[in-house]
Amino acid sequence: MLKFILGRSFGMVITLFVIIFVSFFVIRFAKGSPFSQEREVPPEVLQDLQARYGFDKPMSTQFYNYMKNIVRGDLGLSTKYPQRTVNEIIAISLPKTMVLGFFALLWAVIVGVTAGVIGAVKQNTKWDYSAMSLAMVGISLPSFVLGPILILFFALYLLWFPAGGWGSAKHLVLPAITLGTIYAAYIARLTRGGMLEVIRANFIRTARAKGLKEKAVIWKHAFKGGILPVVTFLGPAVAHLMVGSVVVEKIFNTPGLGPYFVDAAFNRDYFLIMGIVIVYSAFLLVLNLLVDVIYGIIDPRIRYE
Amino acid sequence: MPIKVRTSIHCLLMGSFLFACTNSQEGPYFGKTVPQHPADELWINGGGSPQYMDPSLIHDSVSSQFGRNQFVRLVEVSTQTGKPIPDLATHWEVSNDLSEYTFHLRSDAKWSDGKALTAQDIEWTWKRVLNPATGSMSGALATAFANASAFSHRAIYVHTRNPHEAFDREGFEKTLQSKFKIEKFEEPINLSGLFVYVSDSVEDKQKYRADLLAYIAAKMPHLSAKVADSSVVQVRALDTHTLWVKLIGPLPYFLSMLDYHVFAPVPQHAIEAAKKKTGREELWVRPEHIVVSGPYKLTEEKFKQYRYFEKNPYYYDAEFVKTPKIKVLVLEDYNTSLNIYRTGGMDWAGSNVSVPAHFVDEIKKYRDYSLSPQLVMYYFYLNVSKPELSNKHLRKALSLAIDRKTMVEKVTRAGQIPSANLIPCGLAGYTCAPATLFDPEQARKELAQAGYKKGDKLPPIEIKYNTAESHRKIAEALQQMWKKHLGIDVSLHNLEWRVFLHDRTEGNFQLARGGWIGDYPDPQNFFQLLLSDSSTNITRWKNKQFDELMKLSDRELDPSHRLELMRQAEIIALDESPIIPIYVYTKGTLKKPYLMGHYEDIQDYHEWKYMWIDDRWYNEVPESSLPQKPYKS
Repeated sequence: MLKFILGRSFGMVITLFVIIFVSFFVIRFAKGSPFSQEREVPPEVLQDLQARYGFDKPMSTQFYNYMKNIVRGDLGLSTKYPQRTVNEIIAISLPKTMVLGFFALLWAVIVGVTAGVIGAVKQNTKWDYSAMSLAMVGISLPSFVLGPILILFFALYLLWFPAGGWGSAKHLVLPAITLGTIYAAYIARLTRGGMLEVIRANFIRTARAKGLKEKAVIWKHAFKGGILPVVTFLGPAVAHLMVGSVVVEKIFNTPGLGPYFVDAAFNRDYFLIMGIVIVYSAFLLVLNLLVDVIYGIIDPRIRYE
Repeated sequence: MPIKVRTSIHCLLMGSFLFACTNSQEGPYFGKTVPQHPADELWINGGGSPQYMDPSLIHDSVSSQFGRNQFVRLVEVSTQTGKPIPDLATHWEVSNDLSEYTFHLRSDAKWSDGKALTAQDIEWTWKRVLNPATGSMSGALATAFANASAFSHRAIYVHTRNPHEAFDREGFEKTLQSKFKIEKFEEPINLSGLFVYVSDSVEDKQKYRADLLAYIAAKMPHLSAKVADSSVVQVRALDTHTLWVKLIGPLPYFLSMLDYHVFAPVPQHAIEAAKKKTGREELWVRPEHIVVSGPYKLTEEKFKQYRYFEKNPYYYDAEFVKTPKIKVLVLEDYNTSLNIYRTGGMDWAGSNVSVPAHFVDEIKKYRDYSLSPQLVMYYFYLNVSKPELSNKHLRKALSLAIDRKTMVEKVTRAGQIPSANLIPCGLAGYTCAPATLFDPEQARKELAQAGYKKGDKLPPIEIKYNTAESHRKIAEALQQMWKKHLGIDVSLHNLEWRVFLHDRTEGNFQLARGGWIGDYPDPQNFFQLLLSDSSTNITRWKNKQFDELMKLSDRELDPSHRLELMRQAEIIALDESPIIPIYVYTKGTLKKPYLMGHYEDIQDYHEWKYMWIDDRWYNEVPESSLPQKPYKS
């Protein structure tokens, strides 16, 4: 197992390097400058600004310096928010996004798994149909539709939750539901599918034949096997949830990392874009590894030798 | 509650959105009218996150509100009269030719740490703004000071070592021109000698400067040469409370200009202290380091969430500042802002977000909505350096064939004022030149004069605009109007903002959308967009007569004759049509009825110091007992 993890970690570092290399140059070759504005910038000022950020050096030197700084843990300065370093911006925004992501995940897992199990256990009954129809609605309803509907209903009309912002647990409810619902829907369908497959397996029949109670059969035996596809799905899903969603965070004005994905690119805030790309890729890589490790633990058929 | 729930479900099922569901239960105001916070606070929306807080560096409208409310300027332009009134300067003397000013500062002016605010601070600030190393993108405005341009362009200042020795300028210029690439020579004001501006690409300038300096040192020992430093700039603190400035010439709009935040003094001692402490100068505007001179001071900053500003007790006029605490939210999206405004999360939707066109019809029913014209123009720039647009008759045809009235009534729909003039008419007493809003007949004649008869095919023309729903609609309307009235086809090309700016700066466009926000309320600020040597001349249009008239107007001492000269310049510009104006912007905003002291302002500044909460609204005073607010439909 340790050997497996070490091997994968080495691969991850290489993958991350390739990602950094490619994104660094792709962004730099995009037209437009971080300093352009309606009023023309005097050439002397522009020159000094370029020098301040090191953009005046040859591209290869810039990349070398950037890599050197990354190794030291320094992600550089933001051009759009000159008072902030990229490290600072990520340190401020990422935890908020992660909190939101955590609750979205909680919502997704609780609702999704419950609906999925109900669907599988009560297959082809009205319970199954309504759970799966709801899941279908959840999958088809994009967050930019669900978010405003929730705001309209719960914030503007019933005044139960704030319409946006950050600060209390109440602020989290609507964005977490908006963000988590689509995942809940996928999880419901995956759980149902996984469970149905397992429920027909021989070892379940054996369990029932042994005279085990239905509850024990479902939760102790079927569930463990049925949940495997969900675990696979959860890896990338958690990564997505933890780095935030542009749409949901914009709708609810959540001060998280999500909006930077778009804004930093539009602002040509080179170092900020890179910082976010690195954080996101690192999350994705680590979580994928984690999923594989968990797989080995919960599925006795898988062994990493 | 159940009835409420049932109604809500009904609304949702009916597929109706926000307003349809809320109208029936709404009063004359949009959402809550009881303040959701203590009366000594004010909650406003600042728009997005400010890029800068340092007034010397600010160049966008989101940031400028923080500059203006934290830092005093020498004068303030009255929102009522549009005339400069004393602020930090109590009075001033002007030389007869309007080019020299002596300002007398308030003796009680202090920084928020108790230190006296002196004329030296102002001198230091203005020279800092001009220094390219500071990185101020608005520094160009400060080149109004004599010799300032030489400093900010790092020109080389050459003079004789012996002050009594004559300087053979002609011979010197000839020698230099034969050896180096020179952009121009310029005679300094109030100094002997000469400024030499080297030309070439920015990267190479440094090398050329060094070469030139070395050359002069080696071959012209009687001359002294160095890169012009801040000492050449004709701004001087005569004593702690007297400031003297010399301008490049008479600038009748100089005082209005001084109200712009770039001219607000910044605290040298605090900036240097922050740099010493943190190693990064730009951190001086953080709450823990900031020192201000204006009515409010930043005390708490939550990045991307909100900022708290508290009344600065050292502000000279502090006793008249009404609200002790201001919370400024960071909300970029108007839909979210509307929601939060409605639930009472803010008292004023702020300067930097405008009610989107598709909401206006609905929102304008409410009495907390107001609409005011702005010092902002919507233009299309024509690139006259492109052969297909070099013909003025074609340009005029394009301009005349735009039905501007229909454009604002049917397309933009937020009360914009259609305009074929380059500036908002009536600004600072200016009478606009005659301009035709729409004349398809004449447009067709002009097109024929341009050499294109009916059915003739024009070279392909493309309109570039930056990606936004509103700009797309306007560009599409133009496309249809030109097809209908002139029978010509143009194509549309939307570009992401930075790419758009890049193309426009490089001249890689035929028609490009543009706008201009007046930096100061004077027509000159708009007309300078067309000066041959202006860095903001996007159209590449050059006209000697226009330049001459504008130059004359800058030197004209009689205000009404000055406006007349600009009017003549505008007549030329309209006849040549390098810019097609579409409309004067308006700002539709929402403010709660309990928010007082919020005045209409064409520059949209709305200083916080005048605002306060009418606490009678906490008890839901029947609105009939309150004075009516000015309401426009």
